[in-house]
This record gives sequence, structure tokens and C-alpha cells, in this order.
Amino acid sequence: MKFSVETYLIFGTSILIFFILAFIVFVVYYQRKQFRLEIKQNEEKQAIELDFQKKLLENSMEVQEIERRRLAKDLHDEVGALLSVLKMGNNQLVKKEVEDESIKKLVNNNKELIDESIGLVRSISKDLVPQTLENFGLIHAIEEFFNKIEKNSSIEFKFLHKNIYEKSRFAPKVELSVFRIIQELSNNALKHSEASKIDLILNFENNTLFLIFADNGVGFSMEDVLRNPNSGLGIRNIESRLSIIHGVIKILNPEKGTRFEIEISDCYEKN
Amino acid sequence: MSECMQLEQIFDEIIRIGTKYPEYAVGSLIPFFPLIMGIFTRQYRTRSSMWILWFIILFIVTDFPLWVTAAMKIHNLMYKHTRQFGISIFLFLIYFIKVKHKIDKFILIVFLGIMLIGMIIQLASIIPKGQYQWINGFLLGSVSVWYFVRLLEFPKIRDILSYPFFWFNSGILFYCFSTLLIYFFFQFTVDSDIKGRTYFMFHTFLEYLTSIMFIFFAIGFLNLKRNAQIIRK
Repeated sequence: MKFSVETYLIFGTSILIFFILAFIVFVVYYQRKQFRLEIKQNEEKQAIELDFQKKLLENSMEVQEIERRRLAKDLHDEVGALLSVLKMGNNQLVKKEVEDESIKKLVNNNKELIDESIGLVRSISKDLVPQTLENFGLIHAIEEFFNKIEKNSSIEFKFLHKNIYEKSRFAPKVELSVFRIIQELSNNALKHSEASKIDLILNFENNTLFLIFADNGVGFSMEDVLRNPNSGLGIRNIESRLSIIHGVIKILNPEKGTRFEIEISDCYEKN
Repeated sequence: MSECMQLEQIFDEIIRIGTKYPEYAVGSLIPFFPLIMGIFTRQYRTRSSMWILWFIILFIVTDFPLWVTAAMKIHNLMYKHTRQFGISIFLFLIYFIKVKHKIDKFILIVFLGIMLIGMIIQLASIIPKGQYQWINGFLLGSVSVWYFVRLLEFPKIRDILSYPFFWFNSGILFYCFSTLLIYFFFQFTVDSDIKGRTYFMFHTFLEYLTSIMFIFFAIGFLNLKRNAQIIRK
């Protein structure tokens, strides 16, 4: 049987068309597979990087706390002890009868200064390591902190807590982070907001801690803060702390003042 | 008056040819389909889609003299083959936009050089029947395969089926390799008698395969909008 040129050509071209289409289908299949693989690899890489950054941040926060502790201990044990010795020495001078009035006045003045210094050292070391937080929990520590700054400023602090009992305890990492965040927000409000009132609401629901911190001050623009490399460190610090404890922050600018809404999930996480 | 009559006669002859050989009419009308698609989706155009659109316009414009000369019974084989060389080179140039590696560009320049030499030879009437047309198809097809290989090496496209150049390249690949055998055997089987059965059969084949390439191009234009939306995401 003899085939014509046309038959050979049709047969050959059909085979070529089959191979071309098969090649195109292969390209689609393989490209999709490769793309999915690359996405997966990128996600894994990002997850590793994120985890590494988180651990780095966690370490730096831990180092910061250790340093604070060391500083508080040194202040209390070294400077505090020296001041106590100085106070004792000064007390002996007070007891001695001195005729010169100016010396008497100077000694009394020294006594006052030493007492003030001892008080200041105690206060600083207490601020550095929140003993109340460690011993009695978040609610007591916040109340104590607010009472303290309320005494030294004209701002009215209002603290409400729902579903959290005074003896309730969260993971130490969470408690410390929340406390430091509240300290940071309060300090920012004191320094920049010109507010007369600060409200703090803590609510614990479905294993999630909701925190609302609102002031009635002048407010601020987040864009301006982020644009300026010299400012916004406090906010960045808060974000860093939150990233370690699975927290998110929302900064709202109502008509008056600023409102921070924070959500922290998994508050009992131990690691 | 006589000019008007002559035009009428040409038009009648074109209609006659188109009716007698509908595959030629289909081959000439199909490019209007991607052209319309390209015009409708021009707001989402890319550099490569514009190049393809210009290619279609060139194809349509250069196809028109073929019909007129055929109607006027003017020998147009030389024009036909030269046009074939020209549009292959035009299509080839698109890869200069898509290729990024230096080595790839060098290969493109070498291939382009070969194609241009072929065209010069064609114009010098050394090869009156377009024997070496298959080389153009082979070079262009090889570049389209190479483009796909590069695409697989660096998979950056989110949805390949929505990527217009995938369809353009597939169309080029399909056209080049499906017509390869036809062009290759052209030189051995077709004699100068253009009324021969084999000659018509070859051309019918070519018309249909070229039409499929234009359908691929039309799908590419249809995907311009979807691709733009994917990129925006």
C-alpha cells in the first residue's frame, strides 16, 4: 500500500500538533506546580524569618528586664545602703549639740535631702521592677501605678476591669508586657496629649484580653509619627511587645484625643 | 467610469475567489477577531500585547494586496513569500521585549540575523518559492519553546492561563511547529504550477493553522483584563 504525500503530511502534522499541545499542557501543569512550590517555600522562609525576629525581640525584651532588675537591685542594695549609712551618720550629727546655728540648719537640710534621695531610689527601683505586678497581679499593679501618677499630675485616671478578678493571673510574659504597654501609653499621654482624663478598660473574654486606653487630649497623626524617625519609638516598642504575645493594636483618632484598642489572644501561654 | 468598473470587477473576482476557496477567506477574516479583541481590551494593554496587535494589523494590511493581485491575475508568489518572511521577522522581534538575560538576547540577535539574510536572499529572487521559510518557523518556534523554558525556571506568574503572553507564545509555538513540515516539504513537492492540487492542499493547511494562531492571540487579548486584575491584587 502506497501513501500519498498528502497522507504523510497530514499524519506528520497531526503528530506535531499533538506534541505541541502536549508541551503546552505540560508547561501549564509544571508552571503551576513550580509556582505553588515557590509560594510554599517563600511562606516557610517568611515564617522562619518571623520566628527568628520574634525570638530576637523576645530575647532583647528579656535582656531589658534582666538589666532593669540588676539596676533596681544595685540601686536598692548599693546606693540605698550607702544612703542609709549616710543617714545614720547624719542622725548622729543631729544628736550632737552644736552651737553654730548655720551648721545645725545644714545638718537638718542634709537629713531632708538624704530622706528624699532614699525615697527616690526606692521609687526608681520599684518602677524598674514592678514588685506589685509580680506579687499581686495586673489589677493591683495598674491601680498602684495610676494612683502614683495621679498624685503627681493633674490628670484624672479611670480604670475599669471586666471578667478579671483581683487575684486572676495571666502568663508572666503577658502581665509584664501589658503593664509596660500601659506605662508607655500613660507616659506618652502625660508628655504629649495635654489630656485631662484617661480611661483604661480591661476586659477578658474567650481567652482574649481586650484593652482600651483612651485620652481626651489633642490626639496625634500616626503618619506624622511614623514619618519622623526620631519619634514613634514608644509606639514601635508597644508593637514589638505585642508581637511577642500574639497581640494587635489599633490606633483610632476620635474627634477628641486618642484611643488605643489592644487585643491579646492566648493570655495563659507559658512560653 | 472605467476605473469604477475595474474596481467592481476586482471586487467581483475577490468574491468569486472567496466563495470558491472559503478557507482563504476564513484565513483572511480570522485576524479581525483578535484585532477587535485587542481594540476592546486596549486599556489593559501591555507592551507585548501592543506588539501583537500591530502584528495583526500588519498581517491584515499586507494580506489585502494578495487578494487584489489574485483578482487581477497578477503573479504574486514573490510578494507572498517575502511577506511571509517579513511577518515572521516582525513576530520574532516581540521576544526582544520579553527576554531579559544577556545570553538570550545574543541568541535572538543571531537568529534575527539568519532570518534577515533569508529575507535578503528571498528579495534577490534566489529562492522564488520560499524554500527556506521553514527555517524562519523553526527559529521562531525554538525561541517560543525557550521562552517557556525560562518561564518554568522562574515561575513568577500567578495564573499562567490568565497571562496573555502565555497565549501569544502558545499561538506562535503552535503556528511555527505545526506548519514546519508543510514549509519543509514545500520545496520538494510543490512545482511552479500554482494550480496544482498539492499546492492548494498545502495552502489550505496553512490557512487553518494560521487561523488557530489568531484564535490563541484572541484568547490572549481576552485575558488582558483578568491579568491586570491579578497584578493589581
